[in-house]
Amino acid sequence: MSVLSFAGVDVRYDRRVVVQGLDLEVPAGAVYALLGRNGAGKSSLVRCALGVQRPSAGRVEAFGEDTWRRRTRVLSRVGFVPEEPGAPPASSALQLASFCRTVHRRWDPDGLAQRLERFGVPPRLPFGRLSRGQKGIVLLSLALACAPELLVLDDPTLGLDLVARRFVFEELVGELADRGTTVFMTTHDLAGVEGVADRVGFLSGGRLALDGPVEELKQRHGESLEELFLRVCAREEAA
Amino acid sequence: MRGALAVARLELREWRVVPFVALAVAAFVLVIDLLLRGWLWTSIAVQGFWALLAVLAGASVLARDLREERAAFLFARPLSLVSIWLGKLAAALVVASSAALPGIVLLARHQELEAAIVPAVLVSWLGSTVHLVGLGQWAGLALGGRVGRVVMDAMITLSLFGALSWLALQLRFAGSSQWSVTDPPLLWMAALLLAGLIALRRGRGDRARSYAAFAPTQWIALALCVLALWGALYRLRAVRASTMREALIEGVSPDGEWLRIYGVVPGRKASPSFLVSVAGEGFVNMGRGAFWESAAGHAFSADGQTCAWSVLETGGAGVAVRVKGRGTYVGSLPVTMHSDEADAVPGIALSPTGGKMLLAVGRGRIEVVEFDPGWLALNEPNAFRPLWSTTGVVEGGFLDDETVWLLRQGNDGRELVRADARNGNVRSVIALGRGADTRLRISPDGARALALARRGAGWAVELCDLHAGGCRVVWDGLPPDLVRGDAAEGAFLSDGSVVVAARLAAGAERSINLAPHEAVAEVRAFAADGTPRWTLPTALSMHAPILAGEPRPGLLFVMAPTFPRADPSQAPDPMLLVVDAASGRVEREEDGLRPSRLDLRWSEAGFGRGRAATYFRTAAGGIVRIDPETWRRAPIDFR
Repeated sequence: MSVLSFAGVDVRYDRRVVVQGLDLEVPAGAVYALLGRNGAGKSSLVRCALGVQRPSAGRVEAFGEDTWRRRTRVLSRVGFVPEEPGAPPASSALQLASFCRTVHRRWDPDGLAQRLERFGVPPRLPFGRLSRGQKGIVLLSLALACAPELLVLDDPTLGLDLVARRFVFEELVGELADRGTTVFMTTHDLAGVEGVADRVGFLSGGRLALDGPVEELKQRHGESLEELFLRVCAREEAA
Repeated sequence: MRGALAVARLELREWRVVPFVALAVAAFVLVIDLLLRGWLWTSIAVQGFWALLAVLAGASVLARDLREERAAFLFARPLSLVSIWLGKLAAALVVASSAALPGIVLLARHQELEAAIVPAVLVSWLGSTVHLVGLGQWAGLALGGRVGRVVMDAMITLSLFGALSWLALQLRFAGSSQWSVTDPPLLWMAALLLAGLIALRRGRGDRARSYAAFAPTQWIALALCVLALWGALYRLRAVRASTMREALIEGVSPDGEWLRIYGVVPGRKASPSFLVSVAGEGFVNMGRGAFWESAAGHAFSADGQTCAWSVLETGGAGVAVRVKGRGTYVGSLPVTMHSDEADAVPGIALSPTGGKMLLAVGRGRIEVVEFDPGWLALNEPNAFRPLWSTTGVVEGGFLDDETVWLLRQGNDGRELVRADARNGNVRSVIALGRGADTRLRISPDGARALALARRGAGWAVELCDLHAGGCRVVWDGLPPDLVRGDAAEGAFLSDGSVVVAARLAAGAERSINLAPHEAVAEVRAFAADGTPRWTLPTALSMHAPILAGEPRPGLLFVMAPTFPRADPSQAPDPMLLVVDAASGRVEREEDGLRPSRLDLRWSEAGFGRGRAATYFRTAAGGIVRIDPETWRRAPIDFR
């Protein structure tokens, strides 16, 4: 059974078609990585998955519910880390945590404190004064603290140092996957994905050019994910 | 609600510097105010500070997060969109309110704070704050949008708001009790808030989509308000005589075929006036121009062909004249009185044939105007030609088409003046006792006048010959508390005789305890030369018996209480007494009737003759016409 599904999804901005007729399913407990070049429409699909953007056509469902219409219900089971780490800049990590604790049903304060401490994020420093990497860690920690059933990550390693990147991919995602948490992520970090993702999808020319289990794709094409990605991009350019 | 409070708290943390800035501004303003010793500029500065903060806070409700890409932080939470919007709006309002601190300091220094914290001022201030926050919300979304689209949005919105304001003004002029000129800003405020909510709902994390939802929502909301107000105005202006509740008669045309009525109409503050044909030949809404409830004094010509009434225009008092055509009063000859006392509604009298009009303009000035021969041509202001004017006149009217009578305040009292209507040459002057409360009734032929004037300690009724210039006291010794003639009235009958009604007791309050058989009010009749003919005692009322008209020669209607009364301590119900004018004998008593007109003692409109005397109000509030032959009552239905 799929936790997140895209059925015939189009995303258009005015007359520009970004995604066309996308069908994609993320099974329960899977770690799905959506790959694609800049501007391929990955973030648009993430927004559709969160119910922040309405697809121009088609339907996006999470836990069997329309994400646009049932946004609040869907989000009560979802954790999200955006591409650009944005939060009210005057609030510290603790204050943001206090806010999130109010609005989420489940909350894990100890786990949050441990993660912040582990990465040396000052919990009382205003969010606006943190480095980009620290902001990313704070948002990821907040997303995990609500014990989500689906974790949506929009290029979560952007701007992170090597240690943090490893934390995201190997430990956090791996751990979550072991617990049965479904992960849907977009990323450019192919090397990092290779170790943790069950499935990958290559978004190219507004369509899903490749979609399948990582190992199966690698075996079928005899290439690494990076090589596959480059080949898909080259085909897109040629088209 | 919990989510909205959490969002508000989060947002307020972002604005926590504002109270400190406000404190600093307050201190600065205080210093400047102390140094300048004048608070105009400091007052403007603090208002500007508050307005700026309100707009900035409003802009932060949607636009700031979208610009800084922080919206995802809230949108990624299981918070309803309404909670997000309400929380942000509440925070913006708190921020905008805290920006009022310098203003409060300034008001306190000038000891005006007490006047500023009355509920009405606070509500108005809060409304302005919400409006500014709403405008900020709009501006925040519009900034960065395509210039052409933003300009178009602004033009459409301001045009709709302009239309809304114009309609609200028209509704006010039309006497609406449900709409006021303060409504358009409130409606716009509501449209702004609604548009903000819809923008958030439709656009969510996208600025362009949010604005694309905001602008049309605001237009549609304002357009719906415009339609609603237009509908309300249409409904109000389309008011018909038949929609009135409890119509009262203010005047009757000399032939008794047309009534001037007024009454309560649902949705209106004031009562509109109509000229209504009793035979159902039509009706005329007497309000016109800017103020639809403005019709005041009116006059019919003796031939009943012309009716004129005063109206209040935006530029001053005006007169509407209508003449009969095809069975109804048609045409209009509006004239605005360009006077330095333009707010004064003129009193009006028409000459017997309706060719001349006497206007009491402002305080004590009389003008006589003549209609041009072609004055039936409609809407020709020049058709009015002033003949002459004079000042110091209290009242006036026409004796015939060429002569006017004027009641003038002289050095020793009031004078009755007969003057040429064309040039103002005085033909005769009659002194009418001292005091300023003289009341007059001119005979239908214009030859005599009946005056209630002060004589000695009390009042006296005098019969004056306007041609010979002399007066004869016909009833002396009336009590001194006949205030302005309310407790006395006189009228000429068709045979030239005179009837006078008066209260005799000196003090209605004391008289109320008199025994039922004691006659404390009387109607007396006098021959044309003033010789007493008969006396009719009536039971006590607070006022004199009302001379209700002469339905046919020889018959007099008197509205008065009768003997005996069941409970002498209670004011008795009035009864219509049908009196033989020759003998003073009461031939018939009709109960359950009330005078149909307002108390128009001593005025031509107050004493009808012929059919004009036959309209009465029933105890239930309806209007009936009495047939003086069969005494049947026919209800008058204005539908």
